[in-house]
Amino acid sequence: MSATILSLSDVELLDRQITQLMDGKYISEAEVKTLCEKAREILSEENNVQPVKVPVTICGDIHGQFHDLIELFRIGGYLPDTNYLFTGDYVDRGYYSVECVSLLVSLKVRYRDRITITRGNHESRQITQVYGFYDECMRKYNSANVWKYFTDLFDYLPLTALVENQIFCLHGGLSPSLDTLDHIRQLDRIQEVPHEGAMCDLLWSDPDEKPGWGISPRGAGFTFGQDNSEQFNHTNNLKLIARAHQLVMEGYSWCHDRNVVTIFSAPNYCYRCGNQAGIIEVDENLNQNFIQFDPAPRRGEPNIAQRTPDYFL
Amino acid sequence: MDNPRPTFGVPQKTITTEQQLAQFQASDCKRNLLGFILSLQDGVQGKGRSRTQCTANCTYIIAITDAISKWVDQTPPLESPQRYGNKAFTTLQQRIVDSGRELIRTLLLTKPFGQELVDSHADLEINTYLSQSFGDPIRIDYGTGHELNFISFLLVLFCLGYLEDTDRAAMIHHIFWSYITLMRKIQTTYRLEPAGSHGVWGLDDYHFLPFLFGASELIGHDNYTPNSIHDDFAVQREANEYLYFHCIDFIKKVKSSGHFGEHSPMLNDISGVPNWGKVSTGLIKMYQAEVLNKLPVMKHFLFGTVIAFTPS
Repeated sequence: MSATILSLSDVELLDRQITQLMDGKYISEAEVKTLCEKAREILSEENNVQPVKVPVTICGDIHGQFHDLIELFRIGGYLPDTNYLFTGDYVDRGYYSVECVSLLVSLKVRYRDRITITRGNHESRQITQVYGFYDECMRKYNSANVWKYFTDLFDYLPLTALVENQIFCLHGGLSPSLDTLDHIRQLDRIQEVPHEGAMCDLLWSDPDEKPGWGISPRGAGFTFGQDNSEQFNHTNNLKLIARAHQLVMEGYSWCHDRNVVTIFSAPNYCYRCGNQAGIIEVDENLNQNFIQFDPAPRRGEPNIAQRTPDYFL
Repeated sequence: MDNPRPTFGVPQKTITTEQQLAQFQASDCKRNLLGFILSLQDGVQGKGRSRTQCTANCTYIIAITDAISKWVDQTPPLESPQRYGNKAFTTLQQRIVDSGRELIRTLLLTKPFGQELVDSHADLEINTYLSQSFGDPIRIDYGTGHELNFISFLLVLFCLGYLEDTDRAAMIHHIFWSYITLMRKIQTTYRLEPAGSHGVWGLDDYHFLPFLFGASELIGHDNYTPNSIHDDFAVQREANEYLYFHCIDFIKKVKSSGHFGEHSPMLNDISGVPNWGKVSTGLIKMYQAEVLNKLPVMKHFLFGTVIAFTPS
């Protein structure tokens, strides 16, 4: 069974929205509501370990850096000609989380088999209330409705993806309570990201130089060693774990003797970090091509409204 | 100092729950901490850095930040590939933990009652705040929680009689300036990540208090209004005189690739507030809500025998 097939008018509306969003103009609250309803039907049919075919381009954190997301498509190729797998953290910190997540969800609804979007630790009600997406929705829509539509949708995002049974893709990392992909398939994911446990770990953990499981300085998830990565890849017949979640200067970074690669797709993170962004092109033969890119050159003045924060009234 | 006091110790993390945080908000400890910050803010109202002479008390404390600055020079960043933050910072931080007590003992012995404080291990308690003031050695990051440790370091020295009411302006214009200058050096040398950054949606990646003190410095200024932050020449000209302009100048240099209203919407909003008095009181309200009353910050805060708080 598949989710509702798009009607011609759906396609026309989506194409118009995608064009508008690619142009940097966000869509109306009512349009977001309808979009999230359609996306929920599609995502609820996807697996905790969503299968993905090659060729595909794997991407890491975006964090509301809209102009750099557009640059990513310019460099990596546009949908539907290029297939994409995004591994979470679309929102928070940047000024354009609304535009980024609206565009990615619109593309998902329009080209469901050509783009996979998994969940990051920032696709959460609690985190987005601290790190900016909530404030941004209030600022752009004068209400929390858009924030609610999206955060309700985030509960349906797949936790991980699996490229041709060989490259395991997720936002954070491994969990001491998950030995196999089947364990992950058995999780009930349709919920807010919990504070602890297997689902939390997948979205929060980091690889470390120390072997074995360690306490994460983040206060959620674990650190895992090369021994854990080798064991997991061996048990599940995997070639590689591709994950995001950590800023890396070159846009991608190998660790654990090439059992794990970190990929980060927000260049000059937060306008200050000076890092390159990275994406991985995986071709029909599962060869990997790493592409790095710099921030998009900017033209013109953004349209920024000024308002007085409550503290200063 | 009149009554016999308990022996000093290593300050500990104390707040773990929202309930304990709520108790802290109503405590004498919070009132004293905030009161200290407000008295410093009041001490520099309406005057820039060049109008304050350094005091003898403050000179002894600046010797400590100067020494740490030399340690930074002696601890260059590692050239091996780093994920982001440079692990040489961990070495620097360990040196402050190990050797900071010696600097503090020297400071304590500048007063006649210092030997007694050294004998009861006050240097251990004081150095705990000092060594937490520069960032986290594991995460290699820095945020407003670390900044609060430096103010706590000053508060303990104030409570022990090493800083006095007459030092208030110099504490900001000399000690705090030297701390901020040192922090800029550490932040850039070791590429500290902003701790718990709200990205564009926070006031600043690293700091809060220089804005709070800096707004007060500009109260009643003849030429500069909150909107003057958009005047690049004024900002550059005054970056060494007024803390607020120093911070704006730093942001504009670091984030030169973006538009100010886009990478700093909060500061852009504040530039529309009519006068520095309102900015100043607004920042106090915001500091209480966003720093002193936030669990992710205060769960790391250390309480000891001077800055003392015991939840019931």
